[in-house]
Amino acid sequence: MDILNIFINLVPITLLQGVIYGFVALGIMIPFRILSFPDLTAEGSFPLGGSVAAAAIAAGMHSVTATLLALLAGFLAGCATALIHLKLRLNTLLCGIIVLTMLFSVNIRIMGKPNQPIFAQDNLFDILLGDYARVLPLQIALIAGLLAATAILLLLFFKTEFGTAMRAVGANPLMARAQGISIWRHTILGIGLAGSLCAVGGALLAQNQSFADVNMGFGVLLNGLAAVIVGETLVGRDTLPRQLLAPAVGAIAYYQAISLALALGLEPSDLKFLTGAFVLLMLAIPSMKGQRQPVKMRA
Amino acid sequence: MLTATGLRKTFNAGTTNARIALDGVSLSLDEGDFAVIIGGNGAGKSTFLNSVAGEVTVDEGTLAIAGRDVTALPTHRRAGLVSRVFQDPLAGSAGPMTIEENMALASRRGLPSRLRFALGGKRRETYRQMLRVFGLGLENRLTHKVELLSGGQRQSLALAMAILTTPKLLLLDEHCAALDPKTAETVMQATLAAVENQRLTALMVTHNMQHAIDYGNRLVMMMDGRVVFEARGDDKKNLTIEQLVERFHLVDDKMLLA
Ligand SMILES: Nc1ncnc2c1ncn2[C@@H]1O[C@H](COP(=O)(O)OP(=O)(O)O)[C@@H](O)[C@H]1O
Ligand SMILES: [Mg+2]
Repeated sequence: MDILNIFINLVPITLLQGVIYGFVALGIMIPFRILSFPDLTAEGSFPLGGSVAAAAIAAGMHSVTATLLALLAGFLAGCATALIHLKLRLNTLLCGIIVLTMLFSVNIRIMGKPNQPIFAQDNLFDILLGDYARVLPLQIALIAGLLAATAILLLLFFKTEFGTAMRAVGANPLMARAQGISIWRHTILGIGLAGSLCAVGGALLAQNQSFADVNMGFGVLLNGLAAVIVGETLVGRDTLPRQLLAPAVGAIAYYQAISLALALGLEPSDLKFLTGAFVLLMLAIPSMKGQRQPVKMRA
Repeated sequence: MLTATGLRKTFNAGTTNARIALDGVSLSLDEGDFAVIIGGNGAGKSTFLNSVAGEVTVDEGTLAIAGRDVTALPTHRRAGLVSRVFQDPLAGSAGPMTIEENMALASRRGLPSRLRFALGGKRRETYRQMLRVFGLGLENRLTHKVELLSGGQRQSLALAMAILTTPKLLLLDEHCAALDPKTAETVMQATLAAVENQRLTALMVTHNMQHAIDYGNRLVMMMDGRVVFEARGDDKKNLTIEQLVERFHLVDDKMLLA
């Protein structure tokens, strides 16, 4: 009974977490699933988004502009990873590690210190919710609405000629080239897009908790990947709408599962191990069954 | 329509694995020419087609398609001029995408992709008509994912995509070799019909000597990265398989003596 109570009490706050991390899950799904470009940059672009937003807001910038600035920064981080891969033909994971490690220094430079409080300033919630800025259900509704709008925009985007071309690059680069599609342009823009989504997630979290911390990205990639996998198990991924719905649903479900684990008495520090074990298991099942690898890399 | 002059390509140059794949290939096709390329394994046929498509950058030589020097252009910037069907039926289309999405990409081959919806209402009927030719029922499966199709269906789709917008040059690299005999025949007949109806200029690699004699107006034999025999028009028509095989050996013997 106690466990259930703790869990139920945690629901609102973990729902909010879920919808915020939904952006990150979307930003992780795109490289892994659509571009066949397994990418770790999220681990750096997420705190980058938080740092940029917090530093900009602390410096007096409007929170909407600050969030857009974070989006741009994340885009550039993604572009950097993609460019390194395309130029130097290094493994995509290594490119991501290089960029996310370098971003650690960049983030501290941006904030001028390892963390940046923004308690005193108006954030996105203050601006959009006014007097109700501290009402949790409204915060959840606001972010859930933004997340849904983002997923719908992405769905429309991936149905345009440009978005279709981007999907072709991930599915079959040889064929894409033969159709006149530039692998470079679409990979850079696609990974950039993914970076912006992660950065927006970071910017939203920073504003919600009223501070950014350079370490806020630690483990976010695996959480996001776990969320994507959970979502795909729940809603599938055989159509574009499902593939885009999965990260959002998965992020929400994943943070509920985390909260349940906490309610059951696990330490927060145990969760990284559990998440890792879960992802490992989900990746291992298809390969043990001899099915195709769930994470695809380009030939 | 195609002018290739003195193409040379060495793979892994400067290493112990160095392989001369093209050793000075020159070939010129007029508009409407349908050239069939034959030659043994490793003769350089695929490398030649790849260099025309842009997948292989040549070490020496020049390539012009429809009067444009494309030697320095990457594949995607030649796509407006060239289309191709690969030997591997999986290579020509994007598996996780639907038939109509693949067709939509092909309908914009070589054109910049815009922020407009890729699929529009009236295009569907065009796609249906193009796919009906193969008699495989593809026209009723436009919204199915391509990865669900059989090899023959997928290769038919690849051919339909390659000729959806008329290319200046069509490249076919043993595009029927991986198919069962019946499907191979269907795809070959559809190819011939398209070449004829759309008056395509085409380069087709085949290992089928009979096809080489029956189809096209030009015949090109390659060996060790060189063009070793050419025939056209009536000379080509009057060739027999025996003569071709003899030619092969003739060149073979010359090589041995050299
Ligand atoms: N990507 C490559 N790397 C190294 N060697 C290659 C490559 N592609 C082709 N070759 C070599 O070049 C030669 C010609 O190959 P290819 O053009 O595929 O011949 P064909 O299509 O006539 O059978 C062969 O010796 C082959 O091993
Ligand atoms: Mg070959």
